[in-house]
Formats: sequence, structure tokens, C-alpha cells
Amino acid sequence: MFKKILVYIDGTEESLLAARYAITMAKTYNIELCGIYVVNLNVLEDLVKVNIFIPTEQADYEKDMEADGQKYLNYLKELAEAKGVAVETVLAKGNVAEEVKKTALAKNVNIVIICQLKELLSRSEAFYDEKENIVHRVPMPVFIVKEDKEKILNLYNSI
Amino acid sequence: MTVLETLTEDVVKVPLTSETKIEILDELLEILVAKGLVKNREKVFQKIMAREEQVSTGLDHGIAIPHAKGEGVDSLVCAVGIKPEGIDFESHDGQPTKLFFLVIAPPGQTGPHIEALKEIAVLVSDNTRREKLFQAKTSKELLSIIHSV
Repeated sequence: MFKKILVYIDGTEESLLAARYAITMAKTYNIELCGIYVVNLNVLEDLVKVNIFIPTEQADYEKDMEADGQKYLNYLKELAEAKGVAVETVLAKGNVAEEVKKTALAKNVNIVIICQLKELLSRSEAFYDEKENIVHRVPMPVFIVKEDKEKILNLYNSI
Repeated sequence: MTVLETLTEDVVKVPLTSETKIEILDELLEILVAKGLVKNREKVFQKIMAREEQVSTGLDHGIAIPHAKGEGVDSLVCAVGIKPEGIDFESHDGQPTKLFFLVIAPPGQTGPHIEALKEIAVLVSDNTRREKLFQAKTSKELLSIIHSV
């Protein structure tokens, strides 16, 4: 039923825990694993619009985010390879939810895995939250990893 | 945990006592230094000032979000302060600046850094919420508003 899963990582500790959970699922149920990091161009543009960033910072941070993304994807590979799980990685740029959706569809993914959603300050904040947007935008089931850190690490270490 | 969720009373100061832009930045940085969150004060201060020299981080509506990235901190850190009467922070709208969020991130944490700036931007974008923040009389009260809105 489930042949391929896609885990979204954004560099947060929570998303790297979700990556471990995805590796555990892939190994346990013999499912193909993909990982994606998206350089969030929209948020950089938004920060320029509200004058928090200046254009030179936008370009500088975009480069840094790309380098960070590659670093996190390499880390995902290391975590997966340590458990004998092959992982295909995608470094995308643009609108996070849209890029996750595009990749999920292009790779015929059955489930998208994301980490726990943060508590929102208001309804309007949901509009800006990337993971909320992924949940709403992708057409396939979304699996939200809510277990605590210790449980996830134990699960990952047990395979 | 988001940057606002991790804020504690010892990185929040109400009121800030400084009278000038440079002093306010120094006072905010001192909060983080006192807590042992900044390893190289001089280097971090230079980074903050280098950004300010390009364009002020004083925004509209009494808010400033000075920020820097680089060596000198081990993780993303933030200090918050209020100057109730406001100071000249070379803001975009020319109005006095009252509420300050200093955000410093180490190299390799660009994603969380961007998220933190976005989170603060969303927090202060609402007029009613902003007014409530300005009226906080103590660090505890300010933190309570940030955490409860």
C-alpha cells in the first residue's frame, strides 16, 4: 500500500527527529525514502518587504540556506545509511508547501512526513506556518511525528 | 521550540535604561552576555553595528529587530527590551522606537534564524497586540503577553 515516503526537513531539531522516525518507518516496513529541504524564498522576500532584511542580506541568507539545506540532507543520508536505508534527497527552492507538493507528486510519494506543528499565536499565523501549509497543500496523507525525543531516538536505535 | 517560546525573564528587560541607539544595542547585548550566551562580545557587537550601518533595523510602529549572524554564539539567541518613552533608532517611519528584539545566530543555523525573524514579524504585525506589548510594565508582564497572545 505504501511504497514511498517523503520526509520534510527544515533544520530544526524536531524535523531531524522526524527524519529518524521516517528512517525507522522505511526500514521497518520496507518503504522507499525521500527527503526534501526547501530554501524558503518566500520568507526571504517577505522579510525584505517588511524591511527586516535588506536586499544584500536576502542574497546572503539564500546562499547560507542552500548550504545549510545540503548539510541537513547529507545528515539525513548519514542517518539512513547507518541503518542500511537508501534515501533520495531533494534540495528545492521556492514556496515550501508548493515545492513539497511538486516533489511528492513527481516521485509518486504515498505519505509525507513532517515534524510536530508549533503552537500558533493566532489563526492568522497559520497562514505563515510552512508545515501548516504543507498539511493543507499536499494531496496525499500527511504523517505528523508527535512522539517525544526519547521515544523517537529509542525507536531509531532499535532498528 | 520556537524562539519566542524559549524566551525567559532573564533575557527580557523592562524598562531599558539607555538613551541612544548604540547604548540600547549594547544594553540588549549585555543581557545575553550576562547569561553566558555570547562568547565574543566585541565580535558580535561589531556584526550588529555593521548591519545597522547599512540600514537601520528600526522598523515602523515603534519596533526594532536588530540582528546578526556569525561566530560568537553557540546557538540562536534573543533578547527583548522595552524603552517605554521610545528613542531615536533611525526608524523607517521616523517615530520613536520602543520595543526591541535582538536576534543573533551562529553560522549554519540560517533556517531557524529566518524562522525567528518571521515569528517576531508576525507577533508585532497586529496593532492591538503591539499596543499590549508596549504597555508591559515588567519583564514578567511582557513575557506573559508574548507567550499568551
